[in-house]
Amino acid sequence: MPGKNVKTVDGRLARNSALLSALIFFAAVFSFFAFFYNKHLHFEEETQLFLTTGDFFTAKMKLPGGLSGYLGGFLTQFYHLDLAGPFIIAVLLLGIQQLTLRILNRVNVNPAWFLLSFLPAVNGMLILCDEFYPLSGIVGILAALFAGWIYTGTDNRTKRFISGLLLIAVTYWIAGGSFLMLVGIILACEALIFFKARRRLKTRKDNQSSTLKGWQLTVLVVVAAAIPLLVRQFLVLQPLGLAYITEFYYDMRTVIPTAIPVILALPAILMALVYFLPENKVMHGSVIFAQAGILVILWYFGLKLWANFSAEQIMTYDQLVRNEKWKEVLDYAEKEPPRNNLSLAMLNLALAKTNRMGDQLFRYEQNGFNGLFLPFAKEYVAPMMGSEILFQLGLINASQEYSFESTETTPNLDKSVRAIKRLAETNLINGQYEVAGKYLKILQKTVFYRKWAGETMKLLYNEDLINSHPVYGAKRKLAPKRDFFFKIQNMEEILKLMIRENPSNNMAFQYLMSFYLLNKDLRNFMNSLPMMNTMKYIRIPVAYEEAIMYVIGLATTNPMANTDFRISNETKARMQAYADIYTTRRDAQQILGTRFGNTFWYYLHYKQIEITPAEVQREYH
Amino acid sequence: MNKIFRLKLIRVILRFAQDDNFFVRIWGAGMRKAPSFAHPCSPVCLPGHSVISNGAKRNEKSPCSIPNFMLKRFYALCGFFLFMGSLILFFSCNGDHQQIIRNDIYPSIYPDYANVTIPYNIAPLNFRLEADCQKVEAVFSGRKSSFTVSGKRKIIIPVTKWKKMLEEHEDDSLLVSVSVLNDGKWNRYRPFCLYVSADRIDPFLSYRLIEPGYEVYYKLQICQRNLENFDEKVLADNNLLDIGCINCHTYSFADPERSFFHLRHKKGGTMVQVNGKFRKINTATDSTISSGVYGNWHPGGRYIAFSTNVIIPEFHSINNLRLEVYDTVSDVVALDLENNEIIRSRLLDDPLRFETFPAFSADGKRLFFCSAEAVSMPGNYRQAKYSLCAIDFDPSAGAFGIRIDTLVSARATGKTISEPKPSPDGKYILYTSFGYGNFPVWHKEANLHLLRLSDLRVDTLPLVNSDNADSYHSWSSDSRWFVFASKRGDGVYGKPWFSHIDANGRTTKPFLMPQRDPEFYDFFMKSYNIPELSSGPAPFTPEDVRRAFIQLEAEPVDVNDYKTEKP
Repeated sequence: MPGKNVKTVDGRLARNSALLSALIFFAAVFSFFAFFYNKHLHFEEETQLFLTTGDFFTAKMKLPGGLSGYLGGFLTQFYHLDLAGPFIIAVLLLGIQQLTLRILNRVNVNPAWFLLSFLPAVNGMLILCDEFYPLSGIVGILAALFAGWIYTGTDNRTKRFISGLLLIAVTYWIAGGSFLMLVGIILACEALIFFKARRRLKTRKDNQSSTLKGWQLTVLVVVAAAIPLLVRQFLVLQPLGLAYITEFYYDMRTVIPTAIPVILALPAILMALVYFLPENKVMHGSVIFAQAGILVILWYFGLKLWANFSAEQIMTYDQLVRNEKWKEVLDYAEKEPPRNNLSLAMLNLALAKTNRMGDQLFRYEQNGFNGLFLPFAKEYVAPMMGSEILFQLGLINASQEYSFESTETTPNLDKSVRAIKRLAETNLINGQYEVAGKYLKILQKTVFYRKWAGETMKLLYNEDLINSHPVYGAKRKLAPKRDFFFKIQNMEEILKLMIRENPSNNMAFQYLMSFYLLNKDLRNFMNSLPMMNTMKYIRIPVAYEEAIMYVIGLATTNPMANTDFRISNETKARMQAYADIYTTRRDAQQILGTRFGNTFWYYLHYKQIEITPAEVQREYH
Repeated sequence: MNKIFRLKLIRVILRFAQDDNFFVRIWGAGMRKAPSFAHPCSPVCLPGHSVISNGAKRNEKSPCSIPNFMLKRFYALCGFFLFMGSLILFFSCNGDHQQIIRNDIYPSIYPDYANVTIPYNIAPLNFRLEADCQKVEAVFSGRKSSFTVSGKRKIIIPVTKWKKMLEEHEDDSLLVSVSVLNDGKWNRYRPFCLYVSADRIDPFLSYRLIEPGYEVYYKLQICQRNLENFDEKVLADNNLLDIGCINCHTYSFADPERSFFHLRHKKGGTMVQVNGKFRKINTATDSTISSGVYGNWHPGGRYIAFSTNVIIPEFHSINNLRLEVYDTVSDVVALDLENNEIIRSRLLDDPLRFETFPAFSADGKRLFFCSAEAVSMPGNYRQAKYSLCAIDFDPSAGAFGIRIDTLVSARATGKTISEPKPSPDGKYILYTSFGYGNFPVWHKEANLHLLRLSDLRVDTLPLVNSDNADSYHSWSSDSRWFVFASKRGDGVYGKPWFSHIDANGRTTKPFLMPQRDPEFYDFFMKSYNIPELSSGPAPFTPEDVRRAFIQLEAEPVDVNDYKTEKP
């Protein structure tokens, strides 16, 4: 669309404001993803498998939107680095803003409205807060805006028509669903030219920029509507909605969320909006401040709506556990106590790995079995995190199963690099070297896992190296020797078997005792206490002391005096205080919650839990 | 660079150099009128320069004057050829075949195509070296022709040359000589043979692609590969079918015009395709254990025999075991497609036995199936051992016989039997034999066995089997080839292998389905389930399946009350 070269009095102020706003926006986006939402990016990175092979590139390019999908995946792998991901996102979103600004400037040259150009970028940032929206969507939007910028800058009607045809086809193939954004820009552009002509505005090239003829516009629309249908018919058979939106905008391919049509329509809506806003007006600072205020408010409420800090917390726990930073998990739990079973299970794993499960189990709010292990679910997060627990316990086959299933349930149907890495490890530990080699070979075609894969390759077929490896060798020692069918409901029996096979398996012991305590199964808890002798405990952990004191209290009239167990005086005193409140106060729960919420006794008396773990009925296909 | 190619290149350059018009052609039309400045005997004659030809030295002046810019071009061109010549010489010396080290072992290539028997209509058997190398060269030679292919690590055979050579050497052998360049030295390995059978293989193979996972699936496809080239097309895709589970696709004795697969979905059913038209049949009834599971066609096309099972997956805990899938109950029935009726037999739904894997004989007068004494599960899963049995079937009455014959007894062999597949010529049954249970795909010890029906002699097929699971087999329409899914290699991902069987029942070392890129299987993370050969392409598309899924109501079936049994 031809623009008018009208200068406002405060042009310099506008330029400076635009530059400053862009810098602030860049800094805000970068800071948000770098310091407040970084684990989401790591999570995104590990749930994709981007290969640097020609076949991988070719396979993507065969799909509509494949180039943006490829570039999105390529850039997403850099999320592996803490600051690279935020930087990439900030650059892409700034690109969206700048292209939007240039398109809007062609509609209304008054720089007072430059802040409106931030809306698509802000929208882009908000959707990236949801892990189901991949970066490829942002790349695609950038491509569509670039195409829109080319189109709106073409004065001649015939050229515009031809470029429109080409741009729609090319944008569809390289960027996918964002071609609809381009179509919106084209329609808005033509409508505005038409209205401008009607208003007989005297623009510099008015005579050359008349709107497309009716048939031309019809052809453009028909072509835009037909291309996905033709592709669907002859090239890539997929559901109708997906043929238009393509698979690179939302990971759940069976769903098209409302946010996608909104963001695709936004540039066209903004073009229409700025068209009706005043031109040639002297810019007042108040106009900018008002817009900035609205933008900030929208951003704030958008973040409240889109940003999922609970998920960020889970992902933080997960990432720390994945990297075996057990101490950091405990430090993090001090600041951010677990809010759900996923985080709780990761924290409990860290407690076990640091030998603190017996002392600190009830320091955090527990939720029975489901906070100890993660029962299998047909989605990718719980199995992936559950796999960590099973791996650390030495249940290698079960960990492998969970990993395999998690990668099969990745929403975008791609593989997960994390799961492939785990599969390489489990097969290596199991001595299944051929298939471990296959996975390692695949990982050698990645940017950030190549080195690890190369080093791990050296372990293949080398029993001595594996047996002496600090992780894999240790896991081999922990692994069960006798076969059984693994079911998460049978964890009690499995842990007992593992302890029988390896009486010094302290981790299995901690989990077993925690299992009993969390299931309020005091009989089996007491029966298992003698196992501590072989575990070389020098004192009884606090939670065990509490449980023992409770049992003794049930059996005797004076539990404080009469015990064979070496219970600390502090625990005895606390037991006395707890019992006094429990037996004398009507509002005992409230008081005990405050003073003794971190004890087994409080958990026993007041925590409602499911005793048996729930698992989805399994099927075979 | 291979020797033949080098020689050819030098020959071409010399030929061009001897061609007076060559430079003129290169210079363009403006020079065409210029008189020849080359001596007729001279390979390259420069005007005003000394020329040596046939040992005689001459000093001739050119009869014409050449413009300077043309001379410059000429010199540049000569320089270019000299440079190229030097390069050729350099590389010739670098990879001198005179320094060949001969190895008396076969080259380590993937897929292993050494000494395999292949049909004359198979796509090129591209392969790669197992180990890294600077260069690899393969000479394919036969009585009538030969050609050489080289590559960095992969041998990608030109399709046209391959086709021509195979057609020329039908019922003959080819010799493949592989040489590898490493550290500037060539190693020539012991040449291996490719036996080109005159028996054409059915050109299409369908299979289900699925991750060899445990129980979760999201992306399933039934695909069809053209074995004569590398084309693959999708026949059904569960992403178009509301993520329903699509079970394996089964042809009627390799006839593409008749097939079925199950679509597990609330709107699903057994999708029966005849001549491209689909029917959707709900085979589940109150009187049977489940809807149809493992099934096979009657050669007449009227019946499909099914097992009905309750299938339970379990997950092993120690390293060499992965998954166990067993039935807690199972029966065998036949579906009459004309009357939409389930045909039962008291002999096939014996509550004291597990009956499964039914398959009609080639003449349609018998039904083969596997049967085991029922044991309590999962406690006794290792005791479930299935025998290969047969029962008569009367196609005209739609009735089973009254006696069960045991063809191969599990008690006698100590092993279990799965997936009996009668050959279309009626001579053999190919089945899987393994330790216990009825799900061979996760049993490393699962091997294919061939039962000759005339004397019930069993061939254990040592050339065919591997130390990983070999199962999911099917026959070609002429009974000369069979395909099976083998987990040989990585032990997890099943791939289609083909073996030839001659008129005397002799089988050959199998070969892996070739791919355009020999590294394909390295990065491919799906298993080929139930590979089935067909004599032609399947006459339907994923869109046809989707339409049938959406538009068709599942046809209900009745169940007979056993009264059709033949006395």
